[in-house]
Amino acid sequence: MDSRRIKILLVEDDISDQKLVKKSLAEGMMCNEIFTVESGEEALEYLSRSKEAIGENYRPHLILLDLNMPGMGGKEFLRRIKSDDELAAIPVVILTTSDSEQDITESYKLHAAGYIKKPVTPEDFRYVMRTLGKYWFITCKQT
Amino acid sequence: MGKLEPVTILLVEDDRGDQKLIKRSLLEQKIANEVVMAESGEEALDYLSRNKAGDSDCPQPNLILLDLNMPGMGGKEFLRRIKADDDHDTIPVVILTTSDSEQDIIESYKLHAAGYIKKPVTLRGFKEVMQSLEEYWFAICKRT
Repeated sequence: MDSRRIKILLVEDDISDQKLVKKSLAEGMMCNEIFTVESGEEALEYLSRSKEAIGENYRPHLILLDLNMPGMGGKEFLRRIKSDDELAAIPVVILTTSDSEQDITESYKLHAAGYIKKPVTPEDFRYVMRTLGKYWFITCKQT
Repeated sequence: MGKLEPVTILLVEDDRGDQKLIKRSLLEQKIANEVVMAESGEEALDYLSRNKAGDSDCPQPNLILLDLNMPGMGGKEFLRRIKADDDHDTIPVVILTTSDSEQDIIESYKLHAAGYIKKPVTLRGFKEVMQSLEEYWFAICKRT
């Protein structure tokens, strides 16, 4: 895995959270490319455009997904990804401010591969991103 | 966070040596209070149906560690069934296997595995894997 370029797609509408996630990912792990989009529609558009542009290797290795966004929200995006045979194998991890029991249950039912409540401090953000990076890119095998 | 609650892990694994190694790593590192063993998909489903029936000796697992190649019902068929079961489909299922074939990896993720880990060869490797599992699933992730 280390020799490969790790690509993450971040679906997040809040600009300061985008910055925090990118910074923590860059500091805490070996992610080479982070693409940011601001809604479910943009994420779907990004995926179909990069397929045209790059070909076979267009898929990100992991998707970090906010739930509450204007336009298509996280759950609808998750539903679509997981019912698309070409995209279904990409792990999608929810990263959100909500920790309502209902959001957690629904996300796992829609096949989220983890549900993380956004930490409050930058230190905790770094810990979360480091742990996430270690689990998905060192411990786990990817497609 | 989750560490304060009792954690039950269901380990679906037919190899006795691996069972011991995994159970030891989980308990020694205080990751799980209880590790339930099943040696095939059928046995694991049987445990889960007793849980569904309200058997107090069968708590719902917080995480399932699943081998792929087992006599009888293998890991993929078990995964397909549990993810189609409305009572248990929110339990994260992590594959832990000797195979690292590209096909097994893709199929497992398509069947909604929440991770795919190739079994390490040393005890130290096993402990590192269990540590990473714990930090991800029980320290940073919320679960149902």
